[in-house]
Amino acid sequence: MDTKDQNMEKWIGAVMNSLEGMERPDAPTSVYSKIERQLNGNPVIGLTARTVPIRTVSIAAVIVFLLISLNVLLLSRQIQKLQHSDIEQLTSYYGLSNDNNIIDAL
Amino acid sequence: MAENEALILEIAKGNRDAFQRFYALFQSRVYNTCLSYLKNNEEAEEAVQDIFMEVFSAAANFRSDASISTWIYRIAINKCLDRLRHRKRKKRFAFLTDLFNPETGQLRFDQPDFDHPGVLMENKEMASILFKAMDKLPENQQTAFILKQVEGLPQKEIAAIMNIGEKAVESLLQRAKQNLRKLLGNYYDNTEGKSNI
Repeated sequence: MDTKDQNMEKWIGAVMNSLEGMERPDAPTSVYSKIERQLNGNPVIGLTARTVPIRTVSIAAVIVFLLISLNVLLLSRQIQKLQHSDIEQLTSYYGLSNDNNIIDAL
Repeated sequence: MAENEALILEIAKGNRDAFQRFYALFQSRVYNTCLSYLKNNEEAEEAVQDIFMEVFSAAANFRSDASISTWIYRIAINKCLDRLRHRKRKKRFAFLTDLFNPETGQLRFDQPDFDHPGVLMENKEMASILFKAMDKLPENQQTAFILKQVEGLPQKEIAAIMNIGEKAVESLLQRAKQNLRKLLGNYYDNTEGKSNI
């Protein structure tokens, strides 16, 4: 083990032991008064409403709208394509021309 | 022990004095645990509020098959892990919002170096590096390490809190230490390049 590795091992050991002798700090006194306030003002205990910024909501709404529109567009195109290919299949199967020109067909 | 259970019974009846005594008994353990997970004083204070509000509302559901200390640690750990997951989710979707705080110009989701108030003065700098490395551990290794090294709990109690066997706790602690040593080694190698863990 060279000096650099030795130094590193020593340093790692010191960092790993850096929590030795630590004490549990007390929560600031304001915390209990905040809890008391919550207990007094909020009878539905355990249910605290979380606020979501309006900007996040509007971004999410735009993304959802775009996704739905794209899905509808792609689905309608796919359905149109399928309908076209069905007609083409039928006409080719019965040997018919789909230009409605009976004279040419005869 | 029986005294604590009597307190819980009183809290379940809505007795505020009992709740205050219970708070005085457990607040420092809860606050210390929250600080170790969240590494942010304000967030840890908010978490303490949430935890004790839950204690007040769920006291009636307390079952005496677990000790009160085990029960409150479980609530605290779950609340802290929820907060950490929420923080990670926010970070993941940060591209949808502002990455930078308009007031400070700093990255919103970048945690500054954490100075734990309970750490000895001469160890502050090194402990701050260790806390940063602990963030990179998987949740269960992080929990085992915090309960052992920060809270100083015996392996038996950690096993009860985490609902696993004592051997599993031992192996989690070993893996946590190995991973931390690896992370610290990388940090040491890169410090000259001023890179972070």
